Amino acid sequence: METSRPVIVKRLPNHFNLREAKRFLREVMPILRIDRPQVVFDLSQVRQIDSAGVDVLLRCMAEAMKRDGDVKLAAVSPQAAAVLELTRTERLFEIYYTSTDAARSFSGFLPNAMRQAAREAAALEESSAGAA
Amino acid sequence: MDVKAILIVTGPAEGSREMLADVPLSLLPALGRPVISHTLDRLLSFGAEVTAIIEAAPAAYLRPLQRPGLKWIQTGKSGSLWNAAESCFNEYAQNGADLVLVFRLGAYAEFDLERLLQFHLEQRQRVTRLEDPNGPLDMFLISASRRNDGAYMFRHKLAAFRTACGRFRFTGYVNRLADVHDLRRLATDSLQLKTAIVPAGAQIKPGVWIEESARIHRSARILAPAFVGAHSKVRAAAVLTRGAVIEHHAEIDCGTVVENASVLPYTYVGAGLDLSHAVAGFRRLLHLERNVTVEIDDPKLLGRAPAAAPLRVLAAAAALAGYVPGQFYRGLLSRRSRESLTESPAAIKSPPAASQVPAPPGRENVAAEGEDPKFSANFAIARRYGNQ
Repeated sequence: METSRPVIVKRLPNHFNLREAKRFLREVMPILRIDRPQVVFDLSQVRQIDSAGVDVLLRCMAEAMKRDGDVKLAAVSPQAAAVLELTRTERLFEIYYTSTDAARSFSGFLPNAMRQAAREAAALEESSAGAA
Repeated sequence: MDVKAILIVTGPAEGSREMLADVPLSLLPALGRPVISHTLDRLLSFGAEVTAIIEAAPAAYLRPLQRPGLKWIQTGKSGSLWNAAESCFNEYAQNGADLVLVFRLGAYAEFDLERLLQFHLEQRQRVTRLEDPNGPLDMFLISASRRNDGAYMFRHKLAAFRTACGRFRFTGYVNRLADVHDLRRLATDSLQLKTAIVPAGAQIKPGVWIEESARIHRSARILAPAFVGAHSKVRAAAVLTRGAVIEHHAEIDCGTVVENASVLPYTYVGAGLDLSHAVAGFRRLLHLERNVTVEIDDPKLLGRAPAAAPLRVLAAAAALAGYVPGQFYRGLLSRRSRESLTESPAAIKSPPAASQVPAPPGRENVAAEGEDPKFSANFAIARRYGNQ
């Protein structure tokens, strides 16, 4: 059985500093408290991001993972990418070129892998039956 | 032969693009000393009398340039710089100079000055312009008797000439210092001994230069090639590698990795960061690979120490005085906001499905009434909790 749950795409503000980060966290916290949240943060507009902004991103990811969900980043602007690299946080997130790719990755990754495994198992069974 | 030199350093009033935060790139240090000082020293060692004409720049960047035999002119508003250059040229001509070198910096070039003079005299040029294989530079040798030619050039900001000027082509090292990439390239080329610039300080092991007053924690690692400037601090567990350049009065906090990057003077780089392929300074991060400049107004990431020594001392004293109360309040606040430990989720306590007794054949996926459905034993639990 396949179920599709909604993927929420949220765009980050231009200046993701302490004040904006607090406001942003208040906005997204209800989204992250649902069961298995699937959230994409679009960083295409971000021109400035500081340690508070990075902290909020990590906190969002931690909240999502507590509930077996995930937070992915998309369309990361060069400025944001530079700061994420500086703070060594870019390796903690899955990063996609576009929000569409990121949203699609939620439905594509695990079921496809399982489907592939099932297909391989069936093929193996068939071949063993044929040989017998 | 009486040879004089005029060095012109244009700034924001002249619309110069060779700047970083209103400081001309030639005033910024490359391996401990400002780029302009390398040119200055070569001219002074040649015996030329030098006048440097500089648009208003912070005193902290001009102080290292003070030398005996060097005359300074600082100008403010637009246009006065070229007027000052013209009057300086006329003064040299009146005082009997034979040749006047005029350099607009910018560019760092290594050429044979004697061959240039010889070329100029042999070709009987009024004005000789230096050029490298990539094109002409804003460096000229002018016969002092040709005052009109000189005046014309200064009035046109070295962009137009009364008569065709000779071209002296050389093949030495040239760095045009057009942007911060070039400043970083100059530092790395010098660390790799491709230029005549010798890093300041002592070479403590092959490829690692450290100035005497630098303070480096014993647990910090420095891998060649690298440079640590005067009065800079490298704190515990920091790593400097692959051409890391820490200029004077910079500070690298605990656990930070500086890889193939330059840290400009009076810059603080926060703890636990990864500064690579970048130039950091003036509260900016210039990522060289991404070709992007990020303004960072966050002292946890990039800070800026005051250039004036008394202010630095005051700031350090204030930080020290505020440390204990800060820790006290932090302790109080964190106790209030500390979350109580929650019960472990039931899923952790329950044994994994694979270790449970398998159901009878044919009943694997059938859940007993009133019980939660269980995974069959041939399913591996790919992910129980996200943070595993």
